[in-house]
Amino acid sequence: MGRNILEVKHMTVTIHENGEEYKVVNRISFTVGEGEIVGIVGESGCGKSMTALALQDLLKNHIKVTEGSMMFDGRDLRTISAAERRQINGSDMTMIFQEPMTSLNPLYRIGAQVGEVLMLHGHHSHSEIEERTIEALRMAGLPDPEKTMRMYPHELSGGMRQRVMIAMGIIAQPRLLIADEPTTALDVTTQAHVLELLHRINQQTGTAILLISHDLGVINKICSRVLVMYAGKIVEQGRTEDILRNPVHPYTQGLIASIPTRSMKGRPLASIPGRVPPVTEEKPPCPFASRCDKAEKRCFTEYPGRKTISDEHILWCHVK
Amino acid sequence: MAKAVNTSPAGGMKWGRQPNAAEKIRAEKQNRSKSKASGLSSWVTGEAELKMGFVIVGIVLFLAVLSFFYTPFDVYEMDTSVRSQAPSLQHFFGTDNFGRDVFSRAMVGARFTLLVSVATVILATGISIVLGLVCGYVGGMLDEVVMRVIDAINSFPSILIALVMVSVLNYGKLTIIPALVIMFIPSFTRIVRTGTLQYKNADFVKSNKVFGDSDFRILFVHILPNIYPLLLSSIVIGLSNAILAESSMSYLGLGIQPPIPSWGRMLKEAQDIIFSTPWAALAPGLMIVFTIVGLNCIGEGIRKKYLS
Repeated sequence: MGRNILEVKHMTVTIHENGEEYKVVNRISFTVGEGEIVGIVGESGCGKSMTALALQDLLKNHIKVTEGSMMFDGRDLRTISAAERRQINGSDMTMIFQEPMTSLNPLYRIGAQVGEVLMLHGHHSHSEIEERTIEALRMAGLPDPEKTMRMYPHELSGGMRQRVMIAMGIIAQPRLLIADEPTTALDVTTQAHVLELLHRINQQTGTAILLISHDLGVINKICSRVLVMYAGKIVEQGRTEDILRNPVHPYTQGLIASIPTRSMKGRPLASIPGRVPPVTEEKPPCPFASRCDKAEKRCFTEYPGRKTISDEHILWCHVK
Repeated sequence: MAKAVNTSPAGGMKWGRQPNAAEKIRAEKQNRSKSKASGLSSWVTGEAELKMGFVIVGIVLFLAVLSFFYTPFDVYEMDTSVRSQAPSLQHFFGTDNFGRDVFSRAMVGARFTLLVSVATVILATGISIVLGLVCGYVGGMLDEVVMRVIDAINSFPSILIALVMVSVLNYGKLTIIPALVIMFIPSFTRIVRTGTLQYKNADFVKSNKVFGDSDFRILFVHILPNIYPLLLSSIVIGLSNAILAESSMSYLGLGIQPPIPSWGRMLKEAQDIIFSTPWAALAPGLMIVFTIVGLNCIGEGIRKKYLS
């Protein structure tokens, strides 16, 4: 696996609103190795997307990273200048969004938008840009890239637009690609194609991928490691097969139990009772305690410590 | 398009056969000519308005340009033998009390009026684009201050501001332009700012940031072109307002000085002789109405065709 391309340490993201402060991401630490695919999974509102936006410096004005460090390739993303940031963005670290329908500027042709990424990072030869744009579009699995280049976004379907976004993401051969729910807005068959594509890109170019999803099935397909997040905290992390076969945290168990399977046919779908507490709410030390059926007294009074189950399989829970 | 082909019985199509390319093109042409044929629908889509507007404005522009090379009579020469003549085949709109041909003067008057209104709108648009983009994008204190200043400008009657500006600024031939620019900045800035707010959190702007676009590029290359259609129709309407404003200013004696004609100036002079030679007011008045109707048609056409 080699060196870590991304090392996040004790990162906290805080929303400032009406003079109050709410922590949406609470001192999380994780790493992404070079060429690795890491997944972040959790329900809506548990801080997954905030983590991604914080890494890309896309947080709105009233939301800030207030603690910790984000080391990308040896540089702390919190302290670098805006110019350095622009240099990294697009060429070393890129991001793909959830909503492909609105992620492209409606006024420019596909080729111009994909090629712009190269132009912004110092490539000015017209023929080189065109050549690499065609190559990136082809790699992203778009049939007939020469024709697609001359089209406008409204002429493409959602799946094709997501492929164009991926082409924009990989054209400068970044070292890390953050994919924020890249398949959520797509239909199921297209989802599979896009995941396959991400996997192939990872294999061919060695681009590390941080995949954010609420769908364990998606994570299972391509990730080598998973972080399970709940209410702004990482509650369990480890290799994908360990987490999926042998989940230890009650929340992870609940997530896996709620995946409908064939053997459960006819029975009511399993779910975790309750909902993710809103960020404005005061949470017990273990954020999951209020929904956990195994919760004990100390879950409400003491912070759960870090426990190592096996190599790389780490857990924050009192009960086990 | 495929849908249109399937529902159309024309084109010699049979069941179970895909239409070939030539048939598709033919079917499309038929569809297009059908929508063109209906006069009513072209008013709904704004096509007819656009055409009418361009014809009217074209005629006025033609007269203004023509006046550089040819006018039926000399604009400044006074001829007492033809004082206060009623419209005739020789003098289309008659002559004024100095014996000058009213139609010729209205042609030359178009120059100054159009110059002032076009310059006003171009300057006001330029300033407003920068103000609106920056305020909308940056927000915060800067936005607050600029928008309150604009509110303040808006709360005065615009003609009053223009009067004050003209008297404060050094009196020159074109002092009227900055005075009118101030009048037009508030509404244009608001439009640009609203558009910027709408697009600044758009997903494609976010992805531009992710791919390393500078703020400047995001504003002028990615956001501004998306606002153009919104701005365009107000620019055209703004042009007609500027013509009106210039005319009122000249009418009040704050525009151009005699004997150079402008439409407003001519109206003012015609007012004194309205009972003896009413036609002297007719030519400039009609020119103003004509131009404004034309510009409003274009503005409305753009709005209907591209914004709805």
